[in-house]
Amino acid sequence: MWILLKKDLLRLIKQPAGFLFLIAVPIVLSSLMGLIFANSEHGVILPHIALVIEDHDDSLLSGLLKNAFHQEELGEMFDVTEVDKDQGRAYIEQDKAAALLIIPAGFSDSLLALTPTELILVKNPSLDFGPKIVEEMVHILAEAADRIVRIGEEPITTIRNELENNERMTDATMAAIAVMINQLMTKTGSLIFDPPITLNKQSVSENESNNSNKSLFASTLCGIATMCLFFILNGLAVDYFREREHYTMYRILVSPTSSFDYILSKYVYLFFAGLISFLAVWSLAFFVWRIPIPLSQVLPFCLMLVIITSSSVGIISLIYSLVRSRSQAAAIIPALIIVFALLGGAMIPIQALPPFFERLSIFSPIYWGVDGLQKILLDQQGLTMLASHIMILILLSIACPTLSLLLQRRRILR
Amino acid sequence: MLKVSNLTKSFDRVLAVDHIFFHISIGEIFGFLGPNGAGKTTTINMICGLLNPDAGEIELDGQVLTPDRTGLRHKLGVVPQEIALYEELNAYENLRFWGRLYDLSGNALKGRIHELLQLSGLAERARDRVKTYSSGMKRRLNMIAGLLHRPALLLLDEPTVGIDPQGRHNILDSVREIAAQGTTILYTTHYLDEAEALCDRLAIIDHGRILAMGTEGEIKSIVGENAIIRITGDISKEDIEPLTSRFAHLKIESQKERELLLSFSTAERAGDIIEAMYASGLDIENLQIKEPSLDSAFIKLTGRELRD
Ligand SMILES: Nc1ncnc2c1ncn2[C@@H]1O[C@H](COP(=O)(O)OP(=O)(O)OP(=O)(O)O)[C@@H](O)[C@H]1O
Ligand SMILES: [Mg+2]
Repeated sequence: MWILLKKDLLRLIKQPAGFLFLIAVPIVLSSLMGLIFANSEHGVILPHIALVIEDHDDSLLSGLLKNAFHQEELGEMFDVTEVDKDQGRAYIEQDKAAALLIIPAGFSDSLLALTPTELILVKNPSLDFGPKIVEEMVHILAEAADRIVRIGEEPITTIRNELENNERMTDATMAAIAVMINQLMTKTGSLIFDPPITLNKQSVSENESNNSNKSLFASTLCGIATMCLFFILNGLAVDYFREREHYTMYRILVSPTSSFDYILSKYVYLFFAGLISFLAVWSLAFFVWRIPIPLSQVLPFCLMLVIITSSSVGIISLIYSLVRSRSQAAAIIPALIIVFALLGGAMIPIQALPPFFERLSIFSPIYWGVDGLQKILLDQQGLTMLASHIMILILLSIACPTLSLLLQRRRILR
Repeated sequence: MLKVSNLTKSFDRVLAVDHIFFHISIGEIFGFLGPNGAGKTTTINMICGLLNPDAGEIELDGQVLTPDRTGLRHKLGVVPQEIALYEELNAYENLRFWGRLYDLSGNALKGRIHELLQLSGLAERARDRVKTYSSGMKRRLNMIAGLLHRPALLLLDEPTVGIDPQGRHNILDSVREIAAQGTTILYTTHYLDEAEALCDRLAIIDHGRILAMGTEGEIKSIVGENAIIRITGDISKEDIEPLTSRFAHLKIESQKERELLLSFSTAERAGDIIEAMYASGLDIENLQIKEPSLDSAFIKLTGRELRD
């Protein structure tokens, strides 16, 4: 088994582009978030603003955007009315609103396709202050989205070229990454609304606001890093198919190696590679972005990272042993991860979910990881308090690989 | 050495291997000759324990081979039909990995890798990634990767597919050399000339069944001393009937759209038959005669040619 593992790691080292890119995504994103949170230290006192929104898109993403205006602090600042198509201008003309935000049809499609999109903002000329704020707000959103697109797009295209040449990564991985970046874009997009507002409310002392920023950053990172771990593992697990397509699995299995050893070596490989990337993201968070962690929490935190990684490996392997082909994997798995992430509170806080989905969140493996990390990092809870989290994750780490092992062995020996 | 009895395997609705029996003696090169889809690879997969047979038994040196008896696989060397290599690694790294899977290590492994790289003429490129190799070089590397542990029985599944004539010669020569060193070989192919040139004994397999087995001479005699006439044109069976009744040893073997295969015993004179054909005004576009050979034996057995 160690021979197999050494070979996989050697292959990883020999062709690191794919892996580095997989790791780069969460690192770039967390850096970006770090920058955003670090820079948001000037604020203005904002009055109550009447905002009218016309949603021509009516999609999940436009819903998220609208939701952002309703959330706690923003909700206090904005008085949002959603109107039917083409009715918004009347509000402006009657001075009933400071501004009108039009979400055009196809907004979410083009956002997901990484093509430029446009939000239309109509300001009320007779009012002075309010419209400006709205403009600022939308501007911040647009700029952040633009920044992410630019940071995200360039590596995508270059890496894609690179990969097409050397066939290392597949469309599945590309799709996963693209979806991930897009999803994270909306995520950070809605987050950007928060920091200035948090600051405005608490412009008492800088330190205090800084800390609350950091804890917001930390709790968001718990979600993003866990979700990215799933995507990274998904990218690496394509190896299951690659070994089959290149007949190297065949050759391994006709040797004295048992199918058990083969499958086990893949788990261990995924585990190590996943843990490395997870640790990379968190080291950055602790050492560069200075997220505070009490010394007593370091060990529990590391333990949590380990069991999150092992359970994620189990879950991804199980899904891989259920799908039939690479294209099926590419279609199903990223979507599944996003559903898990959404339900698990990795993308938006669970409290922001509709109550029904909130109850469903315990079925998302991501929930147990994200919640556990947040409790250790933010609420300083000890491991004993997290017994149920740990038990569930360990259970997943055992049950999923076992089930997947049985399924895979059956598939290998027809 | 290897004894296969009553081996059967079907996939969904295809009966891929249909109750076959054969044995290979020590030191022999045994040929498995059959067209695409005949069941060659399926048979090999069952021998090396990748497929569970529906029925039947495989014995290697008197021990029954089953998928979970992985220890017995030390005796087997497998060269898959497809290139099975890590393209991102170089030849040396590939061989080192494949060797380690058979518990080779240290200097013994290094020496063996060196030896095989020399044999295959890949020594100079050993440190280049496999990705950069030509398909002939990949084929050769694919083959030596199955030889590292000096297997007692080597299973070669169409090792010459898709390479140029010179590369083929190269591979055939290495196969002979390996056999000369005492390795028993099961060689599958759909090239007749390879089977004729290489194999001590061979089996003709089609649609999962062994149609004939023995030395080249034995197979020809099983089939009889028949030659084959192949004609193309707008001709139906009925058009030929007057001829078959006139020549007692002329028989229709098979008929496809515009192609007819006839066989005749060498008791008849080919010239007479052809003359009679043209005399009866048949619309013949093309006519070809094949003297008795493994080729004609194959057509006679399977009703089709090896390569369509
Ligand atoms: N995994 C499988 N699932 C379904 N059918 C299969 C499978 N493997 C082989 N077959 C079928 O079994 C039959 C025999 O296939 P096999 O690969 O053994 O032929 P072959 O003699 O090796 O042919 P070739 O010269 O093309 O390699 C074919 O009809 C093939 O379609
Ligand atoms: Mg085959």
